[in-house]
Amino acid sequence: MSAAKIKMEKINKVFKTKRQTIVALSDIDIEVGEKEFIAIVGPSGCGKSTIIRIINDIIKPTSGDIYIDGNKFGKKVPREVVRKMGFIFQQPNLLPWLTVRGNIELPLKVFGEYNSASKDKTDVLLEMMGLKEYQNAYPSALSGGMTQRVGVLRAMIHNPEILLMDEPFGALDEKLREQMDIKLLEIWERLQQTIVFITHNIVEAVLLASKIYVMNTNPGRIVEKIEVDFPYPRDPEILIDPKFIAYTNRIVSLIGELHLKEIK
Amino acid sequence: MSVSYAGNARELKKINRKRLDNKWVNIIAPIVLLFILFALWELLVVALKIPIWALDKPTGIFKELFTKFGEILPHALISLQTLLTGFIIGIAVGIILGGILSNFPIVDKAISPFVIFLVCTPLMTLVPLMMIWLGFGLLPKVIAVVLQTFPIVMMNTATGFANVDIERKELMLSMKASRIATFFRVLVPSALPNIFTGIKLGCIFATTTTIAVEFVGGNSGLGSQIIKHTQYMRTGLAFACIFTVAIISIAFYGAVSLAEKYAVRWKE
Repeated sequence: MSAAKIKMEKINKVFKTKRQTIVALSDIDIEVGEKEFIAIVGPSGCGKSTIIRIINDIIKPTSGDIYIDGNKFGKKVPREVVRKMGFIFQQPNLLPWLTVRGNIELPLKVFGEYNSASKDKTDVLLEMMGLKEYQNAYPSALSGGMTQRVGVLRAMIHNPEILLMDEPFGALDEKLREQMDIKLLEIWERLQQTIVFITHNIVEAVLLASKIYVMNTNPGRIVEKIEVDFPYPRDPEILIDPKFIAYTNRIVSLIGELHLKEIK
Repeated sequence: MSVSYAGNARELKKINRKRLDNKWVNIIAPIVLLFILFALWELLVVALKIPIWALDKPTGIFKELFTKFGEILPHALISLQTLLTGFIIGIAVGIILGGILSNFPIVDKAISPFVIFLVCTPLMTLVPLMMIWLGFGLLPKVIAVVLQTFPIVMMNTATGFANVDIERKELMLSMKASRIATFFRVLVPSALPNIFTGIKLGCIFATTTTIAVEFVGGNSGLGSQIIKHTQYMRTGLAFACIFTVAIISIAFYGAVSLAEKYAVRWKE
């Protein structure tokens, strides 16, 4: 077996409040290969967002180990490793006092890597996402789809090897989301990052990922790992392929069962 | 897609035009109202035959203001000096303390009760004593202005820092940004609208305190002149001084508001 880009081993996360103890994640084992595109689906509250926050060292796990490029990290992932990652938030989370360009270039400035070549690099990215003419606009003047594209570019400006995406297109309408999904596949096929994609949208997960972890709540845990057997580059036509529908039905049945359990 | 963008642009233009209309209304309406109020005042004073030592007409007050301007100006300058010195020191102290408080909870717990004490105690009462200790110069007055200005700035600054979106902090964490980078790139700009609310309130507190301090002690500054002219029944001149105070404080508030508009221009 080849070395995994990201590996989580028996990751647990417990939140303690005065009144109760919540097990957010229980014995999470995840493996993501180099340049692999995986998705994590599950109902809200299953801890899927917590997983990528742990990979990104925003949240510390209660116990367990993380391996990145084969190096083992316990509770703390060092700075240079974290900076190999790009994080895309559910709400685009742009800073309203910075222009589109300013937001995209923020990571370079924070890393102290902003230099004369940076401007051209931003230009290329702006062009790629069709945002060139909005480069000096403030986020408040942009539509939801545009702000999310800025959010994607901000996570990519420093050429990360890993992209962590937290329901990035969840707030968009279905049509726009599909366009963004296809755009994302194009970008990934060109730039070949390793992607961990969080979503509660089953169709989106099957369309994008080669491997899907399905999660359950109470405690947050992985109930099934599904390998999606469609070759890349993927055509949106696979959406009506019987095999595709079989995958989504399988996940729907899992998450459906979960919902019933939740109600009881 | 391009069609919808063009639609957006058109929509934006419409909104902007509406805003422009509102802007003119915003400026003209209060000016018209001011003239109406002055006219009413003038009419009432004449109609009710109010004696000049009780209340002067607006025209009389403005006449005093222009003819006695040479007499009023030096006092206005002294007030302005107290006001600006106290205000600048006050907001600097307020912002710095607010920043420290919100980043170090222990300091916050230790200082908070004293700040409430400062806000609730009428410090005016201490000014005569301070004058005995420190003389009748600028110092005791500036200290009073600082003491009345900084707590409100500090409280608003602390609120601003405390209410920064968790997602924005996560963004900086996801980049493993240093504390300093997080402070200047996210915390300060996020808190800026609140800081400006504090500064604007501080600006009002500083003005009223300046005049009140001059009321209490000393014989220079507009406050002392208002008291003096009132005691000698020179109501017109007293009002001329009050108008000068009003003009100074409105101009001052306007300048701060303009600075705010520039600093948080992204908010629109």
